[in-house]
Amino acid sequence: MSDNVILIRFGELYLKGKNKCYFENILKDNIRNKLNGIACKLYFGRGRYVVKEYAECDEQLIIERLKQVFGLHSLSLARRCGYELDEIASLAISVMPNVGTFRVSARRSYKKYPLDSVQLNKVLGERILEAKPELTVDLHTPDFVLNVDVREDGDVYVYDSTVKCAGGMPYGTGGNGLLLLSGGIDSPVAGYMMAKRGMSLTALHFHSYPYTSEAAKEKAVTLARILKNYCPNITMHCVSLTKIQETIHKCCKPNYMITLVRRFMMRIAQAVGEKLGCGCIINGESLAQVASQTLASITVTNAVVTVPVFRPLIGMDKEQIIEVAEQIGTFKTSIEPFEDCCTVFLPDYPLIKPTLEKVEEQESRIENYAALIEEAIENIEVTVV
Amino acid sequence: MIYLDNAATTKVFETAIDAANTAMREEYFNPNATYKYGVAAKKNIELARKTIADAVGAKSEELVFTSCATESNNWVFARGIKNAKGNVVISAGEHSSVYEAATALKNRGVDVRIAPLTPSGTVDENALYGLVDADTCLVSVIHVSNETGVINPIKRICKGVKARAPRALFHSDGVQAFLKCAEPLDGLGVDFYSASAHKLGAPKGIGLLYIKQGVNVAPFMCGGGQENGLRSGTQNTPYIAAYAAAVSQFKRDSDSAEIAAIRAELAEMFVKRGCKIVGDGENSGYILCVCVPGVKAEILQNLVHERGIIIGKGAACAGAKRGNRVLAAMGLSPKEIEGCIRISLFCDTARADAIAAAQIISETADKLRSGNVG
Repeated sequence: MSDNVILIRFGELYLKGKNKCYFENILKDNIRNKLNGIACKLYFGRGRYVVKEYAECDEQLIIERLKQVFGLHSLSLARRCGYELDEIASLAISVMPNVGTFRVSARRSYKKYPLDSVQLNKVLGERILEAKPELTVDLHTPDFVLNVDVREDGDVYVYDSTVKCAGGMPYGTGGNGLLLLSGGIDSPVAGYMMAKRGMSLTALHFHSYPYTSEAAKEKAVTLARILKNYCPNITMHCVSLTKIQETIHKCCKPNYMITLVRRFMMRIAQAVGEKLGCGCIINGESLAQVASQTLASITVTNAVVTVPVFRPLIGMDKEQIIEVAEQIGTFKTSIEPFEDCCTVFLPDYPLIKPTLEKVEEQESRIENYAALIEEAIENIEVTVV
Repeated sequence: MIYLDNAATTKVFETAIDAANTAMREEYFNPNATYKYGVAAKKNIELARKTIADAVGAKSEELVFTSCATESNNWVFARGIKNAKGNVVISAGEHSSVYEAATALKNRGVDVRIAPLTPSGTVDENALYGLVDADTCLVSVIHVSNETGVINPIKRICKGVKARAPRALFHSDGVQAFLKCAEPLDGLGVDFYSASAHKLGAPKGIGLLYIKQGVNVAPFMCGGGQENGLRSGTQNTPYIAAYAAAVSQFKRDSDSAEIAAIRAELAEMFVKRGCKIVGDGENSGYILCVCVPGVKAEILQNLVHERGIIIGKGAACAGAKRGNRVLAAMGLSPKEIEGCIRISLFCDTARADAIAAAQIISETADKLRSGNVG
């Protein structure tokens, strides 16, 4: 059993008023689920949670898992002792380095503790200097900051560093969204960004089998699986666009392919979302990244749906998106080179500025439009993530 | 199913499966043990080594079993460079396991020079010789291109390199050439030669490195000193037995002239349908790289797969990378590369199957262009 404990701090929940309990309860459940299978005890205090009584070998695993829980701001690996000043000082001295500069930063949540935080800083600083004379105090830019947290219930925690967590709001507190998950770099990041704001995700993947391969579909499943680290209940639904694309190819002008396909996708997404209880559509569009992501293109694709469409990446550069993709672990999978449904029948010069009038005229050439959508929805496959 | 992706891997011969099974069921003893069954297992390894050495024109003691050709190639680049200040020359047509191993050296400060390819797919010999100098310590040129099947004249190139840099060691990646090109290994003049078993009807997980007698190379893996101290680790006796069995069967069954004739016939069919054959240099006969205009190779591959035809679209080992470095080095445009499929034959490829497959590939490409596949 490790002598250490892990202190967990939550972030934005501080801003919540009377409904704070609702968010906290979901956060607690998420933490419990995330640490499921690891023998440890969880203590949920006011403003701070503690993981204790775990095996030493599980420490890093617990930290890595907690870093994936939305709603947590940071965590610290700490040592615990009781209220006795000698005990605190002795623990503080044991974790201090022998040389360099330091500062003691005490925090007294338990207001009845006889020493206030300034007094604690002073007393502990003196004891440390006595025990380790080669150390010097630097209150502004110390090499080492010793944090001392005096909690209720007789606990004092001593730690030196803080690890940043995912932040955001607890997953499951922000409604349900339908994520249009391709195999690319952007859409998993878009899903992550919305999940970070507490939204539960259902993934909808479009494929063009047999034009696209099983490997391409498997790639999307892998991406959903990576997202599952952050979005525990994510499910995935796969829709075939093959017949729709073939029909567009036969009936419409080649350069309208992408625009028309995306309008089909949005209509299918809205219908599927309604069935699955999703209140919005999420996609990875970033303004001007490709032809289908110009203002004009987004306008004509958005025109076919009434539910909100969230585009969390709309103002991000590709580099920024890649940075997040690398951080959440989707990038390496996203860059595996498979053709996806958007590259099948890709015109040499896709439309950059489509107009609603012309797009609708092209669409009117497809006689069985509604039937194609119905058929695509009927044949949806639910894939295990 | 008609399987035409034999450059990626081949179906394992029944004789190879039997040999592996026997080694696993009955001769499972550690070949380094001193009791009689261990000694017998060791003897079996040496018999297998001799079978392979005889088949390729090498001495038994020149062949070291490895886990795959990638290991063999990496071994040469990790341990085959005696002079750290010397330069290394490779061709632009190398398989990733050579190219990436050389790039790793470059990142460590070694001067790595890359000789260009000709549009025919062979290394540009004059350019290669221009890069070689007295400080060159290692040269590596692939024997048969895994992308196009084009043969590099290794004997001549090796001689040319040695004339300019007598101290340089010469390596050739022979994965697609081993047993498929008639020249005996000892006659090529190379110092190192890598080969893989699974391109010859043996299982994956076994390969070899030919090290010319007299060439000293440090071991890649240290341990119990197996393989004459050069490659530690208990030998993979079942797969070594399978390798030898596959080599024997391939020698028996292969008819290079017949395979080359099938390839020529396929090439003619594709050219008639407006396709371009990539790499018109001398070919091993086993690989045909076809540039199909107006289609994406991956989509064509997916569609013909639905009709029971398995083809490649470039090196399967580089499947996780976009583009095609080797075809680009031959001067193909990105659009042309996008449309390149790879058809690769084996000694068990029936002419009628290959012709039927080519017919289906051409028809599917036509339909794909017209958007009338469904």
